Amino acid sequence: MALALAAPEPRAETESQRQPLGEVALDFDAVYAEHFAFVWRNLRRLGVADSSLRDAAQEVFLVVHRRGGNFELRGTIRSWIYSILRRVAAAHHRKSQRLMVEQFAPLDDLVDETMANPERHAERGQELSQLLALLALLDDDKRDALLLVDLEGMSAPEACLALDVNINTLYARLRAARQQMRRHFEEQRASDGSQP
Amino acid sequence: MTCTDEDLRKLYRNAAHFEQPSRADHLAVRRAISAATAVGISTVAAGASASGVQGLLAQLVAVKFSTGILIGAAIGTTISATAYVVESRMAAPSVATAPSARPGPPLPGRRIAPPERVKLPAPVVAVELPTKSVSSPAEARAMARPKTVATALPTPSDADGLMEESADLARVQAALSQGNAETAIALLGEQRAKFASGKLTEERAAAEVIALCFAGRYEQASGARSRFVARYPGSPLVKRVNESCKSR
Repeated sequence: MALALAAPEPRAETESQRQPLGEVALDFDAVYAEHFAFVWRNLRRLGVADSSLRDAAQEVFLVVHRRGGNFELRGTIRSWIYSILRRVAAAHHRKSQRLMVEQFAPLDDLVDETMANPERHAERGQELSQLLALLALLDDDKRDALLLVDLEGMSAPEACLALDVNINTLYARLRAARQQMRRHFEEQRASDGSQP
Repeated sequence: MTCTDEDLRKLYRNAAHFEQPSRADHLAVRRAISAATAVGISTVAAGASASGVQGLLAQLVAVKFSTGILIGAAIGTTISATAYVVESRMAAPSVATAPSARPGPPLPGRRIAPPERVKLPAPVVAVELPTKSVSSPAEARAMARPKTVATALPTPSDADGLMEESADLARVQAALSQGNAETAIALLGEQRAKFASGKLTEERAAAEVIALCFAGRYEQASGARSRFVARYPGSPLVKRVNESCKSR
């Protein structure tokens, strides 16, 4: 995973990431092999619960699969896939929020949730939990910009294609996202420091 | 204390160690996709009137992972390669995305030669799927169950067993909370065998009714509800169970 903050550096790109605009031939197996981890980690960063990650990843790749054959691609395959996965993630959010309110909240006391949490947090690692908590505090559009440029190391033009925004908008969101991240990070650290 | 860009970079770097999917995740999702596409399960076009890439991106898919993986488990040993069945996009009707939509029997598909430049798992063979085995998610689940149940699990001590049982039931609850009813049903199926003489049988039975309701499997839910009430007439969960399909 490329990590770039202030000055994104040139990085090695695979063939599909350099895919030029225009018609592409979609080799599903190759796309799946190359982008599954990208889909997985970004679904989670966008707030899809661990228990739903497989479902959500499947939904993303079924959309990719349906595309099949040759088709016109506006950006890179990676930027196209990101635009799919953020819609899938949003749909999962809507669904889970609706269900929590309408139907499943009464199930909460079936099991003491705390019995399962320590294991989940141990699997995730403290740093990932911290990152996800910080990302959850960002506005959606700013989070997208931060994920693509700072965490995935996308170039600004590629991120613009993924998000369908112009370059000025992207940079404005990126600046705001970094600022929010730093502020929330400091608040989190101060809060942790004040704990006994 | 000021947070620097280096602090954030360090956080991203450290978090990355935990962000990668496991090999099992990679394979399970791939297998589910193969199963879903092999049996021609339709994806859902929401507002699919637009064309091209934008139209495609407007599509949300309503195929449940769990259905796919279970069907995959049921037929996985008999299919050595994925049959490439593509539904006729011209003729395929849209399927409702509402939670009540249930995965139906395989849609009539059109077996076509794949586009030349699409690589397929080789060798590609036309497989006649045993109709009965995949005619409903319930049957697929029933077939899959023996494959998904560990047969040589160690018998845990009572304390550990209850903890494990609780943690497993929490996974069901988490799946339900996220709206993944089929996943919840599959987990419950595994846990029913795994904890045949467990302590949380009643809670699992209640969760099953609710999961079946949400999956739109109302007939099964009704049967499960009747069995629950008959078996646990004094249960505090009876009220919830009875109300579980009220939104139908």
